[in-house]
Amino acid sequence: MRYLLWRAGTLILTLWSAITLNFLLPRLMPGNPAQVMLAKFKGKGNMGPQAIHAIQVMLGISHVNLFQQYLQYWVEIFHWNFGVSYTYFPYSVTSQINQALPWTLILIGVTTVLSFLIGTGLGILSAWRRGSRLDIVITSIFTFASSFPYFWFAMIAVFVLAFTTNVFPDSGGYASQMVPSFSFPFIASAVYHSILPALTILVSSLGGWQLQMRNNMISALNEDYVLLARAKGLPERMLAISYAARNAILPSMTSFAMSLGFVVSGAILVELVFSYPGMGNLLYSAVSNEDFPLMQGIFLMIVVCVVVANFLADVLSVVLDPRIRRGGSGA
Amino acid sequence: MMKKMVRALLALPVAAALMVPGYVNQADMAHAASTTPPMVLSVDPGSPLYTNNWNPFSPNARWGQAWMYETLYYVDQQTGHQTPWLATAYKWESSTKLTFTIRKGVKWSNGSPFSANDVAFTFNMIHKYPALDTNGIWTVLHSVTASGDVVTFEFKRPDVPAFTYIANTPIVSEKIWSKVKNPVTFTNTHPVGTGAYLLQSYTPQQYVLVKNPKYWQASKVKVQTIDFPVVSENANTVWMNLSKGEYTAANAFAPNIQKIYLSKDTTYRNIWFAPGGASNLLMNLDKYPFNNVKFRQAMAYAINRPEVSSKGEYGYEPVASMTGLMLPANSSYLDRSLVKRYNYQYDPQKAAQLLASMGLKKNAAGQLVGKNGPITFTMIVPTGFSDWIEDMSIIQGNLKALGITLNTNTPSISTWVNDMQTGSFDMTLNFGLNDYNPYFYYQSDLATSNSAPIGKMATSNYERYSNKQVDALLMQYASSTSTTQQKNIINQLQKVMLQQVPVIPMFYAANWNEYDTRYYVGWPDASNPYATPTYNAPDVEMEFTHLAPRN
Amino acid sequence: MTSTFAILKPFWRNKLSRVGLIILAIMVLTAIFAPMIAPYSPNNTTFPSMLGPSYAHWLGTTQAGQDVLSELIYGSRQSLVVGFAAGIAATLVGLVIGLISGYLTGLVDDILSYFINVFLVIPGLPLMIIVAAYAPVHGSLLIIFVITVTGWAWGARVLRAQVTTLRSRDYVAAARFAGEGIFRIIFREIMPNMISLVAASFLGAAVSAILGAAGLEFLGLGDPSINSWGTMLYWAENSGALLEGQWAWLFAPGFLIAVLGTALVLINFAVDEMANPRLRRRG
Repeated sequence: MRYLLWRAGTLILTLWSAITLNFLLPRLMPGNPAQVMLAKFKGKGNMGPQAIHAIQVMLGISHVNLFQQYLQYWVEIFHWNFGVSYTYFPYSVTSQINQALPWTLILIGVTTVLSFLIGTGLGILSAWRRGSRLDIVITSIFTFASSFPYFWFAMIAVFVLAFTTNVFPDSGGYASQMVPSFSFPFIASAVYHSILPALTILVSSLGGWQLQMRNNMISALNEDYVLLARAKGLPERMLAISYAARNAILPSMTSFAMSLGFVVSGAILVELVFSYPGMGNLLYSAVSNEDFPLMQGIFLMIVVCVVVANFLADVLSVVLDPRIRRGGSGA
Repeated sequence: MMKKMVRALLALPVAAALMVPGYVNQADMAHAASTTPPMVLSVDPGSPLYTNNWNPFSPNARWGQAWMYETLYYVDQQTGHQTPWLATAYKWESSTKLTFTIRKGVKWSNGSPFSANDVAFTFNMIHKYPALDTNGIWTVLHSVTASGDVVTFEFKRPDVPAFTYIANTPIVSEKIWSKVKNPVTFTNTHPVGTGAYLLQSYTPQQYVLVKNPKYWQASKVKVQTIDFPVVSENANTVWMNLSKGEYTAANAFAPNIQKIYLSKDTTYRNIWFAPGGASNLLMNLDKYPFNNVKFRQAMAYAINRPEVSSKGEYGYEPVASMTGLMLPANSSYLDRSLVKRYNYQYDPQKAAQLLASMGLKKNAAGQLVGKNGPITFTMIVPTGFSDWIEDMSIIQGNLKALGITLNTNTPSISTWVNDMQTGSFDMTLNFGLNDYNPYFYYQSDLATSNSAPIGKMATSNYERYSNKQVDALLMQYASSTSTTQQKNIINQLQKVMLQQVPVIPMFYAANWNEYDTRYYVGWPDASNPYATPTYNAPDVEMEFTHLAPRN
Repeated sequence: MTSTFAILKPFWRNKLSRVGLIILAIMVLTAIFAPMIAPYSPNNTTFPSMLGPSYAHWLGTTQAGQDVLSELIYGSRQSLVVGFAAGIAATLVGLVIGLISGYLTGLVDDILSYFINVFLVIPGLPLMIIVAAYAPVHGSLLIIFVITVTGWAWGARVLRAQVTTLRSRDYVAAARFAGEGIFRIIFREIMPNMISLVAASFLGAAVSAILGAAGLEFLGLGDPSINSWGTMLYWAENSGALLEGQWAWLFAPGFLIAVLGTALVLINFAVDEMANPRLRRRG
């Protein structure tokens, strides 16, 4: 319990510093994003000073000192208000995140879960049959695939499967003439559009899980209690599944919980290649448009999710592995 | 891929031309009931998703609003040719008083009649909410009043060129907008306009416009429905869809349009890249050696502008006239004898002579030595502007041949803009203003009032050119209603451009435009440039009274 | 000389790792002898643009008229240097912070682990993109810096955990009682027992640095005028290489990045074995 309290304390401290960093980041950047935004709002003619002032006020560009801005920033965060987006003005940052978040949660969420399940399963398989041809084939194929630059693989997949052969759509989250709703045709169309991006993410992320599980499992298979069980004559399959795998999966579970936190950040490069309407694409659009409020809002979302997921991962490992509880203080 | 968006962001006039990408499902084509499928335009950038914003004054509005909100006059961006639109006539009563006569019989799409009061209301609303006044009309306007069919604009001081901005202002309904709490943040999700089209449906990935049966020139509008799929930020997505023929028209940049688009269907596919304003090479005139006119002239001879245009700009953006005039649209202004006298062709020898005449000599290492040692300076272009980066490396090679070391850097866009505004750069490329009237180009780039001391924000004269004679000429132009006098002034400004070389116009930014004539015909092209195909206000008004289904 | 071989021996004994070593050696040699191997200069832009593969240009030419194969060969220099430099930098930072934080208890540990935790939760790629996008100067040094800043914490965490367990071992306690200095204990007594962990974290960092650098350069956030596999992908993508039929220009650099990454992961199999001898049996 003391351990969990200590972790909760770190959690709050981490959140505070991440949010503060988030506040400082755009303000530390060289250049003057406000001027760029003005350039965007400007027509061909030269605006008068009144117009410039009015636009600055409208965008929330303030001239008060840094500390006041910081306090104000905290007030806004507690109201879940991240200001207006420069790129999508007058729409708020929150509205844009709300529009993009579901797409990412589903696409990246599902692929993360699938990748974990399949990868871990393959890891168990290749550890159990370690040294066999099967193990070597699985391990080397996925090791190679996990070194693919995501976006490169995605570009080739789009070109071959969406352009040359027309098997899958080349972009978007659903057929564009459809109205988003919870109807069968819409969901079917959304699923159809997500297959190709999901596949490219799966192919390049399976390897990590497979390797982690394989190594942990091989270690576990050599633990004394497993050796003892084997000496007792328990069947190999049972040994692998109920003895070794159960223990070997712990570290993987922790990494899995953490990676769930990163789901929110989307897969920037893959979403970009597929023009998928998710958070990664939104973040990139914020970066390239120098839309600092939007960037901050997205960043904050990601950090909060990761920190919370991290905390949950810790809780999980404490629950699953009593040794840590006794082990004590470290994080 | 970053560049196209940012360019648009920084150069609204060129914006229309440079935005990329989009997506459409072929099912659209199939489910159309009639023989003619709906028109599909890949023009409205909304990546990754659209926002539901139809406020014609918002810089982030859906482009479709240009099909709904109309202006008093249509002024052709290229030629300046004027066509009466919501107004039937205008008159300069004096250089500070302008009147428009409003067209009769026009109706808003909700059925209520359009009147001169709507016009006066629109302009007074812009006055009341300065954030709407993005062209600074009210820096010169004094009052706008309606009486009967006539709207009267009174000016604080003479500004004849402001006509263009007034004529291009979208007019909204008083009945509706007078009830709007804040027209700046209003998203206008049920747009009511006088224009040719109505909003039929909207989703974050696509919206559809349908013909307005009550339109005042409905007989001229032949295209029934237009689909606007969201344009992706990823250029390759757009190129793939272009190649597949999913768009009726698009305004995408592609590195090899011949191979990607035209070659796939030579019968129906066409392009017309109307030249826009000249992009300029800026030199910081407050710094040595750029403060020496001979050095600037030498630069103009030293840089291989044809190669920059053909290699760096893929041959799509023709070499610009050193006068900065937008050709061929502005050719009536061009003083040919003057251009002949100052022909700045690629001539490294002439450049070397000019440099030698400044007393600059090469040292043993082959470097050109100036008063502070070997001449070396830095050129910046923003990150992601891949064609400009290529241009920069060509320029680097040209200068190296003369013994000048050019360092290069690609800062972020805001750093680049900031460096230009505050004058902390040596050399850079920048967009020039794109308009039929060369006055705007010269005014923004040469007027002292648009400059500022180094370290202070300059409005648009980033190279910091200052010349009392030029300022006087620009002032004179603004208060003149005589075309002969205006032309005479432009002539003298051309001379300044050629003699002083305040900037080096490099190439004309292209208005990207690909179109398919399989189902729709009547597109503007080089032989019939009745409008610039930017797919934005005000050109769509003109274009969509010309387009028609084939047969 | 013999000691060098001794170090290499476990790498050579493991089959997978041997393959990795051979691939890496070929790449390093190619990078070193690029001028002799490459058929043309990578800066030679005089060839017709967008030629498909042919005898004169095995992988065709680029939009600007460069020979793709020559670019690829010279590009290996930049990709290897950036990958290794960023890998080494991230590992060093992680090592120093991990060691100190793991060995010392109390306030210093608390502060350092707090920093480790903060950097662990900051999303790497988004932060990399933001920092790289707004940096005043673009180039390889920036990429190395950005990758180091966002990548050191993973190594630090693993190393810290290891030090925490080693700290209580008898020989460390003995050294402490003998009055040896902190740094001596850390670097003389503890470090040698963590070599395999350090190597593993270096290899991991190098792989993610290579992929990260490629991603940043692909987005145009590197210096597009230098020659590397990532910038090749950037130009190929911006020139519509696939659509124009010049697929080799886009395929080759991505493939080599994957091969280089794989080589490092394969080498890591030997490291894993050293760290965990159980992996070796039957393996």
